[in-house]
Amino acid sequence: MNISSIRSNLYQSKIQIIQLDPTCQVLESDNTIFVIKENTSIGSIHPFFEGITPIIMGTTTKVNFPCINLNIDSKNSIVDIEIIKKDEKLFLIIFDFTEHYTDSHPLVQEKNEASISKSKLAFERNLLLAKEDFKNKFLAHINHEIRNPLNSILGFLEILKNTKLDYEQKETLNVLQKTSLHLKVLMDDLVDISKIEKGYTDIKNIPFNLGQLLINLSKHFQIKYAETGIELELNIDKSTPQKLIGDPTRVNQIIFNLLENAFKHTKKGKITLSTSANENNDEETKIKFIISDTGSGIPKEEIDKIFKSYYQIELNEIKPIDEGLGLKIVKELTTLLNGQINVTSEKGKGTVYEITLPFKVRTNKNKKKKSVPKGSGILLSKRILIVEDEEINQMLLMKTFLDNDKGFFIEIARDGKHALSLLENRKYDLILLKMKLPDFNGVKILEFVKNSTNPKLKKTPVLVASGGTMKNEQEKIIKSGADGFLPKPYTKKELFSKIESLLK
Amino acid sequence: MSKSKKVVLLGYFGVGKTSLVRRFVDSAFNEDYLVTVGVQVKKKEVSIDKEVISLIIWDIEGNQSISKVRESYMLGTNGFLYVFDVTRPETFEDLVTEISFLKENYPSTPIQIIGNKVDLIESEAIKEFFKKEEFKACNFTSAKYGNNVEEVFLKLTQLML
Repeated sequence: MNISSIRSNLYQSKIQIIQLDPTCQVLESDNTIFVIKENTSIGSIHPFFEGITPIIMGTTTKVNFPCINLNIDSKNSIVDIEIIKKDEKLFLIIFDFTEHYTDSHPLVQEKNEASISKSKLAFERNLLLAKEDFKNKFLAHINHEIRNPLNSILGFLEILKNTKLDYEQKETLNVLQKTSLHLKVLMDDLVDISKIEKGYTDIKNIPFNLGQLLINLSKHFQIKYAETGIELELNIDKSTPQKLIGDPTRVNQIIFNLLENAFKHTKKGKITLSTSANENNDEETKIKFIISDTGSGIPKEEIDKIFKSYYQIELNEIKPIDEGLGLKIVKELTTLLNGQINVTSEKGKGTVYEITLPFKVRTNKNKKKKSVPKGSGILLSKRILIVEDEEINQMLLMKTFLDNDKGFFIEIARDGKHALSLLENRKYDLILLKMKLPDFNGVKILEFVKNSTNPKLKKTPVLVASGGTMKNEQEKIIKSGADGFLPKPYTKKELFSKIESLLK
Repeated sequence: MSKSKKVVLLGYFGVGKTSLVRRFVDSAFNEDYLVTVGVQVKKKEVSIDKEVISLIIWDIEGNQSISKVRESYMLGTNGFLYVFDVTRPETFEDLVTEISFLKENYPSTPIQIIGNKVDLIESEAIKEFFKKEEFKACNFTSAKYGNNVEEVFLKLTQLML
């Protein structure tokens, strides 16, 4: 056998030639690949040929169709097809490349599958982000809606407490106040989670004394849970540096939540809070906080879930939510402070939380002496314009400012227009502004004040009180020209303190 | 004898072109993805106003761009179905450009755009996304459950007559 005979055999087995008449009837076929009878219409062999019949008829020289899947008489083939017109004769040439195309199939399959999986993952991620965003927006909205009436409840309870009440009324009021404050804590927790998840939480780097922070926390819990008989032991190891630079508010929040959680789950025995530092140098340290209890413990299968969002809500479907969302906040804040958290627990014996947080150590170099602000004396006769449209809130504010010993006199504008007319005609020392007004947005009032040609009006501090506690909302308000922001619900003390600070 | 009309399905790989043809022609569906090499041609007869039309459906291998489709596949096409996958943004990111290309090069050939795999959309945000102006002309289908599949083939057939 020589090369030309091998070539001839190969070609004979892989190429089929069909001659057609001008109406696409088969005149002759060598039937190498498919058996095609003479005098049949080529269009009846397979839909592919039916589709190209007009093209065959219109062919002037040559047309090529690569990679055509054909199933004829139960035989699957992948072929290239050429239509040739020569000397007024029409030919169909079929090249069988089934083996070649089938061999390349797995490679294409693998490549396409990998690409699809990649984009599906991205799609699922986007879907999750969209869900999370929707949840956060919903939480922020509902929080805002609840904060406003809650502010009224807490405010009126505070006023009611200062009236003449008998013992039974006082007790009832205490319960009401406690419950409302608990609702406030829950609202704050939700906002905290939302803020952390949205990346809106600011981390401070300020000097603080860790020992003082821990002693204060320990005292708070000893007093709060004195009646339970549960002892709280505080062990600050000598290795723990006291003068640190970090975020005391967040550290306080983490330890507070863990201690609160420990007390809630411990019916007898004791709770221990210990600290130690192993990786100390002159400038940095890593402090380990261990909070252990002799409480009910967590079943093994539940440990991974305890830091998840709304775990407690999921668990207590029937029971009302009587706890905050503390553990979720602890986990998120620890991560935010570049720390680690670890939990070990044994059902019936207790739980141990270990948190390691990095801090900068305060040296004499970065120690700054703070001077005590002078002149914080009594303020007299300060006129405050309150812009508030809701009657309940107007009433609450009137009662809040009634008989105050700060010298605050108030005047209430019922809407934006009223506020502008009062500001045009009278002089005020401060404006307490609500942003959502029935006739227009509070921004218009801010612009009126801050762009005024009257220098005294221009300098008048504007304090905005709002249920929107998101940092971006607050920033937007401050950017619009407000001098201060007070999140709702607030206490009388918080309101007056904010006013005083702006009047200084 | 019935009229024959050539329909070509275009679009990215893995968007469900073969599944749409299977659902329309064989009333069947398979979850597994099997890549199409070259072209598979199927036929289905439909009746429009008592007229029987043979649809010769060309299910072409997926391409990132119509300009990459083998030219001879497009010869003699009477109608295009451009398919994208609603769960894969890469398959509809260039939708406007792709449709413009078709309209420029095949000005008298009707086109129907299909957003397939709607059964996989759960999020309200995604549903809202597809209400945008650029998707107004789209037909949303599920080859898996057959939603809107027959309708879109018949709609194109009407336009081809």
